[in-house]
Amino acid sequence: MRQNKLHDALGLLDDDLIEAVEKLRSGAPKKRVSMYWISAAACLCIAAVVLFAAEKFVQPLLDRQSADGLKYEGYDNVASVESGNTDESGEAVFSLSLLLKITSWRENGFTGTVAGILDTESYTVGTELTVLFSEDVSYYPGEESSAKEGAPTSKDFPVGTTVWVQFHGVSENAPEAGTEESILVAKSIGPASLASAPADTTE
Amino acid sequence: MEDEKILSLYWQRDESAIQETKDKYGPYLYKIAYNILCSLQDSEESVNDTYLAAWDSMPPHRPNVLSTYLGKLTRRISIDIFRRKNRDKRQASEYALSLDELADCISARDGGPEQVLEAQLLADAIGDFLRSISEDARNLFIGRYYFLDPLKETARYCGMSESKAKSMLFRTRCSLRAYLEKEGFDL
Repeated sequence: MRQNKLHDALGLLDDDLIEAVEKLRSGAPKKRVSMYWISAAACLCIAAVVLFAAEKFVQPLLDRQSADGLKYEGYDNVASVESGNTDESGEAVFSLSLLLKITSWRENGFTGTVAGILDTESYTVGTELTVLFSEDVSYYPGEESSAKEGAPTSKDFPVGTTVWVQFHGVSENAPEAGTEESILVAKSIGPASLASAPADTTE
Repeated sequence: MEDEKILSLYWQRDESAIQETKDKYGPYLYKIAYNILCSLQDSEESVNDTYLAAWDSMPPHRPNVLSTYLGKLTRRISIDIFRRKNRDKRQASEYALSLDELADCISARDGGPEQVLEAQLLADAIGDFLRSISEDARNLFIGRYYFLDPLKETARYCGMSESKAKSMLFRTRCSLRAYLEKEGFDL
């Protein structure tokens, strides 16, 4: 069987690669530090990050209206969209938004790496994501622009540009099935600077 | 007992080396075997064969890290036992499950006199690939496909959710396939 060949090769991997995982499996830490101080330091760091993020990113988003009138709401994870959260009028409330650095464009979307976290704990900086545009996607071509209906192109946001992206949810019919967490459907995109800008006019 | 002292026992042909190895690494080796064989009896056979293989190979071998050396012996022996006993059927072992998953990476032919050399070349290429990806993705891949730990357990000790681990493994397998194709391996 063809996969047997791969398994045989895996058995010949360099020892240092295997040793690193052995340590993880055994639960042995590389450097032992008092758990009390680790917990205290972690709490302080989390508090600082939360305060910074709230002031810098979350509050401006909460104050804004999207191009189609949907309110910006921060949720912990994408699952909240899938569970069908809606506001009083029955409109779906989209969940998470991220700062992404575009690495390449593709049909109906782009791939990028997470450059900043806005209102979700689902992804860490550096995670690679595929973004697909929803049918009613809109975007802000520039800092001084109002929202435009339709999908942006590489001319609007060239490779290497960092953008904020608000997601409608996860794609159920994405071509790369099985990677649900790496494929998100975008509702709105704009320059990264708008993530902290005050409320803008909408069409 | 420290590894260096255990190794010295092997080199001195002191049979207490086996018992010391069993005391220190028995559970570790047993887990590797059980992940592949899913049988208490077969796993015990594999681990016992590992002790024999260790005795026969040291000297001349004197590994830098004894656990890794023994683990490789157990893994190879367990896979051989699995293939011998399950040539025409599948069992619900992690090794069997991994065969389906790794179909994403490679589709080479079996057999041939160059198999050993080809395996080493493939191992070198896979090692280069693993060093080029993130530490999380690398540890996840090795945990799942070398140690053959269940996905849930691998995700736990790599510090991520099971769904994230599943996605990451899928992407890694696809990337590995692309890498091996680029390196000219017959897929």
